[in-house]
Amino acid sequence: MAIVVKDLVKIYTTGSLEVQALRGLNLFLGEGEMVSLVGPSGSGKTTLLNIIGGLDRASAGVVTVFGRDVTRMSPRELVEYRRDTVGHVFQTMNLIPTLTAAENIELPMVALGVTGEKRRSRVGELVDVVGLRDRMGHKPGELSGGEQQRVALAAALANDPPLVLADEPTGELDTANARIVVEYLSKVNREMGKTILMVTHDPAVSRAADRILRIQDGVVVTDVAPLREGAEAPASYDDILRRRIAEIDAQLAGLDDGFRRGEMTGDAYVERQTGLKRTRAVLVEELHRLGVVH
Amino acid sequence: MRGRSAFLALFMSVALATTLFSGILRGADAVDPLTRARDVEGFGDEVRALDPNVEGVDIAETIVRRASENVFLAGPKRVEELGVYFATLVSSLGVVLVVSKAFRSRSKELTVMTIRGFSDGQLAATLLVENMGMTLFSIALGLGVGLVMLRGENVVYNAVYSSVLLRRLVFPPSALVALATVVGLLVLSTVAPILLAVRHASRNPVWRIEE
Repeated sequence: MAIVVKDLVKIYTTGSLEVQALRGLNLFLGEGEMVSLVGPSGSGKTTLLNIIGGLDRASAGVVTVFGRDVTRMSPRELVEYRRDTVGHVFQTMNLIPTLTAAENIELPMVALGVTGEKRRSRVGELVDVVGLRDRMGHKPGELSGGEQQRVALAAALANDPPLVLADEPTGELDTANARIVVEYLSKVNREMGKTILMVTHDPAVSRAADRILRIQDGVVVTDVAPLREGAEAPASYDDILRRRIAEIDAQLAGLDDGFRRGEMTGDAYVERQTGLKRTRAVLVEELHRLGVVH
Repeated sequence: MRGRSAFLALFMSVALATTLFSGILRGADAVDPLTRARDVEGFGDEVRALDPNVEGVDIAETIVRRASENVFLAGPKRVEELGVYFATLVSSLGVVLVVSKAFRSRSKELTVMTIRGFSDGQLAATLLVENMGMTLFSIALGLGVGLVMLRGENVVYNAVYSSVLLRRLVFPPSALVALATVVGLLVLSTVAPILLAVRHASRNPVWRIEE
């Protein structure tokens, strides 16, 4: 197994307030697998990724990555782990603006102590992988968002880590660039055999993975294979909520008509209308909690 | 002739006394070792005894010693020393503030480097190389300019004011300690913010990402 997460708990303490971001989460990833992690904002996706990536500490539980227990690593071991086992791609802030694309890709190799000649040779390989050979002398400010993410992917692969963690890598990109970045991630997964765990809000992006894990309130609630072209999608929780809200709207309209026709008393009308509106408000709030604007 | 030689000897001994007393970078060019242990006050009496018409004997060593004991005369010198220490403190604080602000604006870069696998030591070394160059150059420039100014001052003094007493640069232990303190403070004011920035970036990089 590439990643095994067992009973993972993460509690953040802010002043007197405690927030439980992960509540006994369990998951596993096989070697060479590409998995999408989806879920509403605040569900614990990024927290999980940061703990697996050695950027944050767990409050309880065990995270094993390629046989190494990340939760028990010393600070020195974590530095080595970040150098050679895991590559990170974030939504933004992946690159140092004063360095060129090539220098940004070299950075992890500098940390590892790779010699200059080997670094340059590796940068050459990686810019070919992400299709940016003619842009390697440019600084991040001179690159498009999609190109920046591809440079970030190349930097994440610099020390040839077996695992790549991508936290909303397409979050700031338009559809066309998002598709390109996802294609490169898939290519890295297929051709280089890297295990990829990717957080995303975009259903189209999540479908590029072998599995989609849905995380909610700090635990994995579903683990499904993505729908491929031509298959009929089952109704999602969002769709069920939307459908129920539409039904309530129709019932409210019918209620108004019935009251005008004198089919019910004023008290009965108000009572039913109040009940329906209250139910509708709860459903809309639930949609908002899931990050959907209704 | 004897009187002139005696005066010369007195001036020589005064020069040595001045150097030893003041603890600053001034002194005489040549001193007769025989005059070091000489009883200058008694020597003054001897000069006075030579001729009853001698109205007075000015002994430079005595004048300098009295001047140094006179709070009104020694005051400016003390103020000058205090000024140097105050300027050192202010400039050190200024360096701390400037370097800290520079690192605050670069905290995300440091976080990226941490995430890409830089250890605390590697981060600190990178930042030290980037920043210490300027600090060391400034210190070297300050020392060079200070030396040139003192040397120039001595040359002017020796050429214009005195043909008997020759001032030269001397580094007594107290001056070396003061110099080391000043240099140390300036180096520390650059190193301390670097160590704090490294610690800040590497302790919990996740917060910097999400900012």
